Amino acid sequence: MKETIEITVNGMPEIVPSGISIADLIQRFGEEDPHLIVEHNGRFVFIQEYASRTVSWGDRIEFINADFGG
Amino acid sequence: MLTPEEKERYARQIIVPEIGEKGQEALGRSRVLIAGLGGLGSLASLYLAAAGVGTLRLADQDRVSLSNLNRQILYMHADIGRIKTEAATERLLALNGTCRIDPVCADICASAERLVEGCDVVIDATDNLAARRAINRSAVKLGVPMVYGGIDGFSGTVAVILPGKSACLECLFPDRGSHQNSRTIGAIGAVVGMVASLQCAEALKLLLKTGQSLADRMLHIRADRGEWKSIRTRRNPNCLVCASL
Repeated sequence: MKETIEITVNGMPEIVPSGISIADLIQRFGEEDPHLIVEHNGRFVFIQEYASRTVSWGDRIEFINADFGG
Repeated sequence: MLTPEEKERYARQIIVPEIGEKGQEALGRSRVLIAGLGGLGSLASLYLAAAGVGTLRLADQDRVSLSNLNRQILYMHADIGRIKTEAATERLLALNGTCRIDPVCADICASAERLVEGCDVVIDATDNLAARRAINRSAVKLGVPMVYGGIDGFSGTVAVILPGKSACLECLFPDRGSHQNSRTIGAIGAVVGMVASLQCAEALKLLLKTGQSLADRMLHIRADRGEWKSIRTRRNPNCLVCASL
């Protein structure tokens, strides 16, 4: 059985596969906003990092929809 | 030198230690571009004119409509149908006749560089990503600090872009040439006001060279939860707009 870890996504505890990438998390949580902001432990994640950056036990992920209205 | 009338008008600002008479004079010598005269631009132009910013360049090509008035408090009901830059100029001069208004009724995307040129600070008060990208590119190219502000319903974002020093808009939202979103964005006056007020506070700090700016951070407001937080950002080494600076 694949190892799992507990992380916090949008303030809620979630059990996810160990070593999961940001890209996989975006898919897993059904985030479809093309201008999604991903915050990983308080830091902005660049799009080019989504595939390579993985999360660890206890990490905090926030998916934020960008605000472009004025 | 401030005139006696200016000393009285700005008395409550001059007593702020970070401003003083010197700071007030510096504001009077400043020129700020307000790109977009919608909700954010309404508030930003009122606050900055009232604060004594010497010259406001106002850019928008729209006319005032009834559906603007829930949030665009620069305009009166009687302004419906008027060109925004004209109605805005009249209102701002009525508030503070010492402020120089430079209205430009033009498409922001097509004239971004001309609009930014010669300004000390840019307030990005546009309402779409294409215009934001155009203003960002010009601000970065000309080295003019820009204060980003955006809203969507009960949420809002503010960030300061210091060209070559902090993340620019393109660092954070790279243009991948697709996903043009034509959705009409919900806008609540009170939330627009929060964002515009923060943009003005950041602009004043930049003009006064005081305080700690919101550069390399995005302040994200969730008025529906009564929460706000800042997200740490940094320059994107792959940025097509600012990586070469």
